[in-house]
Amino acid sequence: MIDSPALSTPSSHNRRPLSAFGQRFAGRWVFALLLVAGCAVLGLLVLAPLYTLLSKSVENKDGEFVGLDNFAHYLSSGGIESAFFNSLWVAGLSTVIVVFLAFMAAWAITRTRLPFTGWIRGVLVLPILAPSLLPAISLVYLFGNQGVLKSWLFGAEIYGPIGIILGSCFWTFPHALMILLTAMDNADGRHYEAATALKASPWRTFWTVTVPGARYGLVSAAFVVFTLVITDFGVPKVIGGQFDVLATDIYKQVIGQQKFEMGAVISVLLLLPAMLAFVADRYVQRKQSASFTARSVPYKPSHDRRRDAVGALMLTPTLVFIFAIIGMAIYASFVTFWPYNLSLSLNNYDFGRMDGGGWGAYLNSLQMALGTMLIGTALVFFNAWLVERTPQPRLLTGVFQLLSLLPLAVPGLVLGLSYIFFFNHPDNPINFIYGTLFILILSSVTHFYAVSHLTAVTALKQLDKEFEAVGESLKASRWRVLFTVTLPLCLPAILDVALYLFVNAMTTVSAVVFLYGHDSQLASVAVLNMDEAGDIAPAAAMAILITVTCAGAKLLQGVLRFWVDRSTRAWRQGTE
Amino acid sequence: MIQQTQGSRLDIRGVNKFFGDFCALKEINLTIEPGELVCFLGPSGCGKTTLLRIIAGLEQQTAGLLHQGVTDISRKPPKDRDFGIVFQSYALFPNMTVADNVAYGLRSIGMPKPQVASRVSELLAVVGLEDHARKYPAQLSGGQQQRVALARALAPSPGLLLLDEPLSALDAKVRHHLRSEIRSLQKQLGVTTIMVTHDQEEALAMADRVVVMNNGVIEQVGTPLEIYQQPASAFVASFIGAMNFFDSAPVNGQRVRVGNRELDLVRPLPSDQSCVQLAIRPEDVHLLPNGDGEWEGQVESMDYLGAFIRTRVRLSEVELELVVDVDPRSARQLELQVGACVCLNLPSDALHCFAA
Amino acid sequence: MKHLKQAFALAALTMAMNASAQTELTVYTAVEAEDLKTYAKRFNEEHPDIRINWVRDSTGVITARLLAEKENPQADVVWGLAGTSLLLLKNEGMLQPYAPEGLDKLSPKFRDRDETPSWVGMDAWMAALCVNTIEAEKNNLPMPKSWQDLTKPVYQGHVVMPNPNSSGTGFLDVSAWLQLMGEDEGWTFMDGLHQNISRYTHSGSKPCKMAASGEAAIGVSFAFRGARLKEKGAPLELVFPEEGLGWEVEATAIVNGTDKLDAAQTLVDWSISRKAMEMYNEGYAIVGMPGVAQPVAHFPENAEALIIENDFSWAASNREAILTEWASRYDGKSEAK
Repeated sequence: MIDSPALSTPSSHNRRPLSAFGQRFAGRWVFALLLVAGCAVLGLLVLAPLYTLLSKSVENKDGEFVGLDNFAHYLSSGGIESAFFNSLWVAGLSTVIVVFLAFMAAWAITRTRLPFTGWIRGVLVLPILAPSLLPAISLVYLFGNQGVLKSWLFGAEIYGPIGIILGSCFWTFPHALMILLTAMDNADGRHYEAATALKASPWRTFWTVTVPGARYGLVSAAFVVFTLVITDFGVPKVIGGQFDVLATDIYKQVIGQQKFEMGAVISVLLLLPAMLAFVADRYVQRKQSASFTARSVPYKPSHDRRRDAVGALMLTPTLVFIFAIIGMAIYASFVTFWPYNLSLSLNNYDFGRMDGGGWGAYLNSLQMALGTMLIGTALVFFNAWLVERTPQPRLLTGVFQLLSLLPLAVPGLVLGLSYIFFFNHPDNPINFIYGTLFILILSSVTHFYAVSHLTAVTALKQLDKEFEAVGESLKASRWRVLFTVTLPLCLPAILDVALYLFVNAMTTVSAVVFLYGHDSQLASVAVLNMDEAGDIAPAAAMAILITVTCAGAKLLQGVLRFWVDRSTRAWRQGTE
Repeated sequence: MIQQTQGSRLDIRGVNKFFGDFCALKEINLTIEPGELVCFLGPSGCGKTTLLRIIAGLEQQTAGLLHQGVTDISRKPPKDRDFGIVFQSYALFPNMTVADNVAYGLRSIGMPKPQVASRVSELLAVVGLEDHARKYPAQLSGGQQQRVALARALAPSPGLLLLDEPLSALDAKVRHHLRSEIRSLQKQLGVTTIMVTHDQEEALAMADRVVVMNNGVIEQVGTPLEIYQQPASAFVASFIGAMNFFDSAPVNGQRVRVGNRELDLVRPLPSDQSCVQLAIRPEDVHLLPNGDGEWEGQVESMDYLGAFIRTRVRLSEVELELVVDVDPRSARQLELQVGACVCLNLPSDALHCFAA
Repeated sequence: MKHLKQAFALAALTMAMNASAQTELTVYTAVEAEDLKTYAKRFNEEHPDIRINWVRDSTGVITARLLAEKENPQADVVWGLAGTSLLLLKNEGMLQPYAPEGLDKLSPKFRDRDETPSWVGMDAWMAALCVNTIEAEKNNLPMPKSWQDLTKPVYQGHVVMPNPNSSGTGFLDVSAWLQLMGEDEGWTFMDGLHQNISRYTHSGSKPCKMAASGEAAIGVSFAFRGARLKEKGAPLELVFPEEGLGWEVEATAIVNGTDKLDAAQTLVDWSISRKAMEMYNEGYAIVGMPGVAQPVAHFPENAEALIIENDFSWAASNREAILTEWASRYDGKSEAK
């Protein structure tokens, strides 16, 4: 018999009204206020800097308001429609290819019983671990005029749309694959049993069960790839030749001619297709409801040699492509002077002798990536938790969602310049962070916020929506539920987000190139500079070093995930 | 021995809830007595779950007051209210053992460790899961998970237990078993309990009183017997059990006309209606050999449902098809078969009438 | 007492030295990263009290950064940036005019025309053709001697040059051709050249790099890059077209608003000293102080005679119009094959 007064009488009975009010305030509004703070932080990191740059699109060089003159001037200067049109079709075609390949790969991984899928997954996400210059160097060595596979292009040139599309496909593939794997990992086995019972052929099952089940993933993947390709200037600049796209047009205006107002005009134009894709994606996603419920039976593919063979066939081209690119880059990093002196040496890894910061830059990059990972993961996850797991006014969550996804549509170059205008302004009270490692961290957190946010939100959505309600009925605050239930359950997703931020911070160039200071040079920028100086082999070597570092991080994350999975297997799978 | 709780009395006064323009609850008034088990019953979208969530403080009512005992809880956040809750999904914390789940609420209020341990084992004994304390929810069957959720909700000895469709995720056999188990546990503890369900059988079997809801309003509050035998509205009549409906025109205060006949009623007619709906339950229709009854008809179909046969009879006199439940023995005596002609009586004390 | 005074003086001196030893200058530059260590080392041999913190990137990026930072400049000194870029900064009022010690020894071409110049020159980099000898032989290409040679049909699809809209080097070439040949003939020449161009690049050094790796036979680029690549083993021949070469001055300037003016001036003084000029001469054939330059490997001996009389102010004021005209003629859809 237990007779504790705390049990038999509700604890709130004797509270004074003021403290009751305080309690209510703390319970209901503190979360809204925290999300307002979250919005403010994103506003500071995304909106305010962007405004400082984009507002120049309606100003002349002297800062006077000129309405849409700049737009008119840009549109009338000719050759522009082609850049806009080129951007659209190159991004569109890349999207189709990447989503197609990623879907085949995801199918082979989740719907067949191929061995080594863990390793295959690892290889397939390799491109995300490499700086963007790496595929560019490899593509030239593979398909350039001296390329070993030049004949495969049947006289066409790698410099131009072909190069842009190949390069873009390479680096955006893992993004699409990760989204599709998430969408396809949780298949309801009963749907497949129903199809079998209805005597549907494998082909018909594929089109009537598999594809519709993954359709939201397909839309999301398409949206992400399209936006990534259309805003990227790295690949088109290096391998695009004179093939004009909007992103290189920004480069021309800003870097070539220092016309910030025209750069702002193109940035605004570039935001349009990205925003359109964003709206379309949101519209489709709104209709999504969880198809995988508590009653679903996880799909387990049956033994079927022929299907496994098809799966292997579907994976082969992508795996070969990735191996070819990475392998060529490794080879390139050892070659003395391509293509005329192919003797191999390790000299290119002696970064101490190289310009561009050498090992110091590498250490800076490590610090920056670790900082981005720690700050970014905490910020992303906390904000996602506020949005998903606490009571919030609808309007506020809408504003927050928009702010959190906006960075996806902003080219890195635009973000970097915006950061100069905003954070270096003499009236900005925190302008002392300009030129430090910290601003590099902030810009990277911002640059890669959207995908991290989506990952965190997806993980949080999968938790039972009543956890907090149960917690409150048991007198546990949302905070206690957060630390005792939500965080432990989301650990795998947290590790994913951490890795994503680390890897991207290691490899990014476009935004940070404007922001590093004399003591915060970065390895990824060094790659670019060495390549610029004609030191292609050392550039490849540094790119490989970055890739290896990221692969190491990925491996570490894999070990951690394995450990988490093993120590939590009991409650995840229900086996003893 | 499990601790007895003093169940709370709950008073709901004038509660309204709007979602934008949509009125989810309209002028809800309800008093629930200490120790009572009340079921909120209604089709999906009737507002029963919204009302439960308002009682829990998970939703905020647009207007109206709630009192638990003498305390005004209208504006209190959930954690300052005194209730335990079990959701349809159970919402067990998958990363904690059964024992940790049950102990969760006890640790929240800072109960000393030894007391937590003894209270947890006490509760697990009550729900029959002593041997599963160290297991994780995923290692238990649906019924076992349900009991853990129940034990967790009851652990802090709440004055009010809220059950949101607690049995609907279980298969029929387990459901039936748990029904009586929950009921006896609730009686033993004396905890005031509100259960939301769309299953009328469940509601009738378990509840002290049933609250039938539709379109955001309470249609009727009553004991299961009252609800079944004296439905207050056509909706209740049709929602609970089976019912034959047919139109009629009032002749005077106690008589109505159906086709060419006039029928006497036991209960007075609702006033000022030019047309009323008559209703009779299938088991209340008397089936008689041909020529012996007031109405003639032909058997259209017969469905054997075990204890009785559900028979459809088409009346020859009026455009009307009645469902009649006949026990198998009477059916044999009447030599009932599809196509056969039968007679039937509509006993006036079994006739209900509702405004059309 | 006397000892005490001495001690004080000594202490004051030490403190002064410590204080000055802590002077750190943030210097923005587009000079090759591999040369920066040498630059700082040589400067510190004479001025160990000033520490240089380099921020290096390509000309375009550094110029864009400087302009974007206009409201709150981070750089104290710009050491090694194209004269055209410095002209832009000067027009924005971002440079602090200063007449460094030994200004009179500079060639007039190598200084801002104002009496107190806003920038002073270091050296000149000049246009050149990087010709890949192996590829030229493979494709039976004769060695070009002049700009006009490049319009010959034999070179069709073998020439790469920087897009003047993206690259300062590209603009340098275009403006030099227009000055050399006159506007009409200049554009006619470029029309002809356009027929042979296999592609335009976004960076000025890229054509030479492409020639070095055999991706193109002939790259229109600048001599410095070609010489460096040749040293690294590229099968390149540097050709200096006989009509004359466009060139650009690399210069030094003090950024307006620096709070380390003394140190900045010390640096600028040194940057045009004879010692500095000799240092520049290790990589560049033409330097700002007449009579210093010694012949440099891979460069022509008569480099100074080859460069044209470049009218930078004409180029600057007509830049917009030239680029627009160029874009409408050769950009975008008009892809040459």
